[in-house]
Amino acid sequence: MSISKEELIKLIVNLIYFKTITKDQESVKKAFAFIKDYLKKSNLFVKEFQKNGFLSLAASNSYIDFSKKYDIIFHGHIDVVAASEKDQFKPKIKDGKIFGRGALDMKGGLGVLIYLMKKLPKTDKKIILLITSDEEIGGENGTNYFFKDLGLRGNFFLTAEGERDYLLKVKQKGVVMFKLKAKTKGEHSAYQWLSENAIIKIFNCYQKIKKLFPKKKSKDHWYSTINLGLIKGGTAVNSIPNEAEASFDIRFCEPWQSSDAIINKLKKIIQKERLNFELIYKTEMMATDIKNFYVNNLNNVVKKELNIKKDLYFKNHGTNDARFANIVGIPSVGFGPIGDNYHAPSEFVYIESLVKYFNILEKFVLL
Amino acid sequence: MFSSIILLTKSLISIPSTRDNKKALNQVLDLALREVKDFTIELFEKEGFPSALIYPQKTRPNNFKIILNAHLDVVSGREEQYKPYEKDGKLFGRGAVDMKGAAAVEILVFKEVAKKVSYPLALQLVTDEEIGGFCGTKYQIEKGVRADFVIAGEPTDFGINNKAKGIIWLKIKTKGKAAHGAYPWRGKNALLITFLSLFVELSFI
Repeated sequence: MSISKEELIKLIVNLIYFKTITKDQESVKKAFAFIKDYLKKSNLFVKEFQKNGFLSLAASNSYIDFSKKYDIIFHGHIDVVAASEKDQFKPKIKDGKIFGRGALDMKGGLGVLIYLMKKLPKTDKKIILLITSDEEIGGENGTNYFFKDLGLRGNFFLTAEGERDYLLKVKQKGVVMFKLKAKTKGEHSAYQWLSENAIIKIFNCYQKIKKLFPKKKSKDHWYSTINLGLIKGGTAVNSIPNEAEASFDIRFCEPWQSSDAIINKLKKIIQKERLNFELIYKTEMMATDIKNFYVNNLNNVVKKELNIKKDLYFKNHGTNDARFANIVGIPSVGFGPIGDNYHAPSEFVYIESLVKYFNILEKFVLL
Repeated sequence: MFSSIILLTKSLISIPSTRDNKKALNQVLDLALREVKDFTIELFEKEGFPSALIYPQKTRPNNFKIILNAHLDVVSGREEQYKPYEKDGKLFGRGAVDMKGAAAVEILVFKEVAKKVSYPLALQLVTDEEIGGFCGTKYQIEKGVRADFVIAGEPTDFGINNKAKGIIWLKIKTKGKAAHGAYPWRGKNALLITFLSLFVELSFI
């Protein structure tokens, strides 16, 4: 099977034209109609899904049935973050790059997956492509719907998120975001002994929580971190604040850690300090075994195709939807084409990397 | 004497002389000055806050022996708090204790004794004590008003309040470096710099 660069570029450019900002599910609907039409002449089975108003699309070379285990699950999300400039949805091609909202994150990679599915040669492998529309706001109603609610299982999962470099993202930190609230009596500030200060109470509690996440010397920063991101409190310079709240973002990666294990430890400290705990968001970490057959195969294909010797395994401080598959036990990676400026006005993907990406995945599928 | 103290205090309370009500600040001072119209009244004004210095002499002496100081402004209250009433030997109302009651006493004491005493005595009435006193008492000092001794009629449970803490109000502005919350080592957290420098290193807490 040979690749038609023109057809691939045309497909990606067409995808970028749809203003599929996460909350704009009408545009997602139109984009899905376009994709279904594009896949019409193939032998693929295509099915639409929906949870809490968020649409998803699945395309497979075998009848879609989640009671069977798939060999390979490909994934891409159609939703994009909002654009500051209108013409970001009018893609441009210049200097071997496609510019536009979502070019890198991630209609470039998604386009390659759709194209690959359409051109898929005969294989015994059961391959399914999931296209979701809520990755930018957490993925609970898209990717996680397939794994958690519908029970989708497989031997390998790949999401086509683009990056600055060719990376096989095999690890991701987990996340616990929470809010602390403090209430005290409050008083005139000249009488400090009459009331505790709600802001200071929170800060003192933070000092204790921080000890759970010691800074470590490590080049790749693969240790758990906590960020104090937001603090609110106080009404006047001469009053002791009687109410305060602060929000924190924990990213964890130690083997003993799970979101619940961390929350339990937090609660012990927070209760001692008599503060109020409110969970904002949590998600588990991802840790894919690089000795896995598929992961190892992909690594070898990528190295050969790019003509490099070094392994491309990468630890991701942020998150992508691959974690949902990993949480249910599926070896998962994030791997996509390359470009830059994601979430920025000048977002782009390299056309050459799209071609390389296609060649890599094609060889991987046939291995 | 007693009934005129109550009467004057009540009329002072009935004027809502808060910082944002400049008209009421002038009214409350006028009302007080009506009691001492037989004396020399020196008027001051800064940034819309009126104040007065009252003495028996035709011109201001270089140095008073004693100044009786009172402020006629109050912190804001609900409308019904400006309707004073008596109950169980107490007078209720916004400013009753802080400090229109004491102001009435100081005014009437001054009126009674200022011409009888053998030394220069003055009455100082200001309208900005609750927000710092810079446009009243401080301003009069800047204009050369001096004395050997000053009594401010603030409530002290009959204690003699001869000390007051100094105040520094300050704002710390910190500029850090923003980064995504998953990459704290790429940024400098401005919140932490502020807290750590002020509270941990200076150990104010």
